[in-house]
Amino acid sequence: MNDGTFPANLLAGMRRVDPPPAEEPTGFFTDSTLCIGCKACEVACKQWNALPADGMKWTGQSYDNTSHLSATTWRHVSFTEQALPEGGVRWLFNSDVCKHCTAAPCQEACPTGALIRNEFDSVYVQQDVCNGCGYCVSACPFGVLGRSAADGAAHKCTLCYDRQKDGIEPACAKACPTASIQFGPVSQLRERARQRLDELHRRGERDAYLYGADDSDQYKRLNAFFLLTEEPAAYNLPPAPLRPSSAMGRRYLWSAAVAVGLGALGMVAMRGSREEQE
Amino acid sequence: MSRRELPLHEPGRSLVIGAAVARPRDAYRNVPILARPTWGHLISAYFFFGGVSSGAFTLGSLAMVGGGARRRPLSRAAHVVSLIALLPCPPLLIADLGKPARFHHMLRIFKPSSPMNLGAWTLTAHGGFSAMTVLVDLAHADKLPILGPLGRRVPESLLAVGGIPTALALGGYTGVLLGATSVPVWSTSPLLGALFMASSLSTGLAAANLAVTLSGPGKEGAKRPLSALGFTFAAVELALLLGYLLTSGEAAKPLLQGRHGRLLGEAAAALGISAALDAIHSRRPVAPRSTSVQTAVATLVGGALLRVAVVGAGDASAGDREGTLKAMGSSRGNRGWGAGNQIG
Repeated sequence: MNDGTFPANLLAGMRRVDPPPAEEPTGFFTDSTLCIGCKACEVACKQWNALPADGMKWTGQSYDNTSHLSATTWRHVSFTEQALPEGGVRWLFNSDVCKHCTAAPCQEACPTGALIRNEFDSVYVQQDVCNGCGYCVSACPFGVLGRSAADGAAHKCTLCYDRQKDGIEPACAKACPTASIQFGPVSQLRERARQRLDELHRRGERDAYLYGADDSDQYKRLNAFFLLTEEPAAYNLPPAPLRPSSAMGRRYLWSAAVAVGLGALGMVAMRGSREEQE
Repeated sequence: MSRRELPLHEPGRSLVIGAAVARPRDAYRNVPILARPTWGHLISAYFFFGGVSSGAFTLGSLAMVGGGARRRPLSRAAHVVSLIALLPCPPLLIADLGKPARFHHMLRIFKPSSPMNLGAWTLTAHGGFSAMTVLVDLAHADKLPILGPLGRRVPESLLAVGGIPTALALGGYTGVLLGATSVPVWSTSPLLGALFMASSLSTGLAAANLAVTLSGPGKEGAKRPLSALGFTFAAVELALLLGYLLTSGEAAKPLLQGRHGRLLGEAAAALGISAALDAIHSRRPVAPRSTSVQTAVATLVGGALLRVAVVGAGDASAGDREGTLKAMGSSRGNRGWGAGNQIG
């Protein structure tokens, strides 16, 4: 069947196929203390995924002219120029990416089932299914997803699904010259991250901490987590993200209560007053 | 301010290094954390028309079941209004999609975790109920050609009552949908669905009343019980609006200032006017035709402005980095992954 022609293309996204068998979950451990801000990950990502340029805009802020992740930017290196109390300046770099949440709000919100969890436990947008409704864009607490004006669909990091299928690591991790971006099975990455954290703490880097390696009070752990040394806001990350679906029951209950209450009053009014009946 | 007055060496405060003022924790102060919502006026309009259709269908069915022959004109008018209000909904929804030819992909699965998926199914089911109810109404009134004899075999109230749950779901799910996002102004309060639910019923009643009044022969407007109902709906809607704003706390800021603040103020004023007029009308058996029309128009304008203000404020809220950091800041119940919360 040729899916490219009408009306066969109408049904292409409706077909369901059996998913491939589950593999070991993989992810990223991004160690910001090793990042030198070279942006090789951004370039490698753009090149491998054939993502268009974002135009030449000067943000006027630091040396970072990418600003944020978007439909066409799936790795973003944040540059924070930080003045130190004792004088001088230090740089904070961090290569931001889709967090591939283990309980992903975008995946929960998606009305078409385009957003799935693939066999590597990555959150993936099936481009032949996405209808560009924009719900995932507003659901993501990290502002990762964007809707492309070029094709109308939602796009984000695929964790190089195509490369993983062939057993090679994602382009960004491959290109990173300092091993700031590490790719591998999530269980191993977590172990490695804890060892690195211990080592930094031993060296006196008491500010180092892991962002997203474990469950927080409100948010499940991330398959792509970070080692940071400043408050999350310094890297433009939310300190304590919330799960949009968490209060769903209460939202529906309030709506139903108002519907039933006002519906009952409506019934009373429709029955009418005595004067009408006379 | 001279350089000496600026506080030095205090974490999080301004530091002066040469000519540059750097605030260590605010390097990205101009860059929003959240992505801007993709929804605009098409979605506001869809929420409004869907709400009118939902409310009108529900009240038409209640009129049919509860009011009998006396409410027959209102019931028929309400069901027709429901269908007419529903007609622009699919085109509005489809036009807003990035890939309009793929609207039907929402119906390839049933996914209750997604309010939008539930909404697509609800809209589809409600469309069926609404259209069939009008056809059966017409058949019973001997106005349906060809299919008339078939339509008369269907009991009048079967579809009308059976369609109430999906009609109500259509009115309320839109607020739940906005609530289940990361945008603070939509998601902080649990009451947005309830507010849209009340607005659906108030605008549905207003549209039905308007249709009956304008199509009726005399100088009479809404009858006393309907004026009282209109007052109740508007009062509950205003109370829920207040409750929504109060439970949103600081996240309500984008709805209280600027363009969306003005729109919301106008919506509240229109609802207040309609509540006041209905309160006056409910003191006499029948309202005068002209003011009955004014009341209905005020309710409809209020409901429409409410949707425009709330949907539009999402953009300002997502763009407000400080607001996002407050909504998703570390607190006692949700310490998050901040620097003071080391793991390992």
